[in-house]
Amino acid sequence: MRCTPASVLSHSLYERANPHRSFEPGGVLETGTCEYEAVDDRTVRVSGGRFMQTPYTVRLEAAEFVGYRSIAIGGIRDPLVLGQLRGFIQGVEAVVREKVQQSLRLDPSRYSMRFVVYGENGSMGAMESEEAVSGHEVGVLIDVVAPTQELAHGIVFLAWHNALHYPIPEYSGLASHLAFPFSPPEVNVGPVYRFSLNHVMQIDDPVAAFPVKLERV
Amino acid sequence: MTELWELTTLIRCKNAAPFEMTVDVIAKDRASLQRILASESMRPSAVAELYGLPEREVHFVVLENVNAIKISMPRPTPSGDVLDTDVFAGQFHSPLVKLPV
Repeated sequence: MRCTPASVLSHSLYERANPHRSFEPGGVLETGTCEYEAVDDRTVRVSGGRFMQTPYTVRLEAAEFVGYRSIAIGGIRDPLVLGQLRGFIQGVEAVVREKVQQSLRLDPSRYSMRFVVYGENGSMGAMESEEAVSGHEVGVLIDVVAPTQELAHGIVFLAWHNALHYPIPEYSGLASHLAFPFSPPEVNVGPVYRFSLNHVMQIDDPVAAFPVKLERV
Repeated sequence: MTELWELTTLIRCKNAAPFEMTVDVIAKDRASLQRILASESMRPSAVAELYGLPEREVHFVVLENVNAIKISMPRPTPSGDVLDTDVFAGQFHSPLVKLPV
């Protein structure tokens, strides 16, 4: 790819909400008024940007530990289950939460459990605008995050086991609703972290807050 | 009826820092850009409705010299949060692709 006015300008779009403003530690670079001029077929001169000085700031970011994740993946192909999928999953979730309370003594507020349904809204969640399942099968990810790996494993085990055999009105006897691609269906994924701090801090000295210590070894 | 993708060279979505995502719609040429901007379905109010967001949270920027429209909006959850469905927000452009324009 050559460096052209269009390629330089295009890069200002990438992974940024506002292409005309760059927030830097000591000010804001305004590029909305910039001119992009081809000096030759692979060189671009950018002019007309303005740097507006602000008090010196640094951004603080942090992540926090939230628990351990265990997952299971399966497919649902039965048209009777697909026809009542939302209610089916809500029913399974309610049963599993009750059993977790009874057998693992864990309150629903202490762990996260979700059924991510690929083929319905697995990619976009609540933001999905298509209403119903239109295909002949869905993929289901059962995702659990709990205080310990053992608890996460225990909960996801209860979840897949109950989803597999959850009764639907059209069938009697022990039904089997999920296609698991491997056995055991559950996998421990390990520790989970999430964004916990996003803060702009004003400081007088740009380097004093970040001491560097050099050791010769 | 023309669909949005037919007038573009690229429609993509990416994270823009952990709390926002940004859709870039790159039109094939100036005429395509004007046609997209003039269409009912790509009005800010229509796009906000498609994503279930209030219009004030959806920001449009038009970059005429690269025939681009940038649409930035808040993510449903912070990137990588426990209930996130798309840590890079790489599929959130999808509802726009087949919009009639």
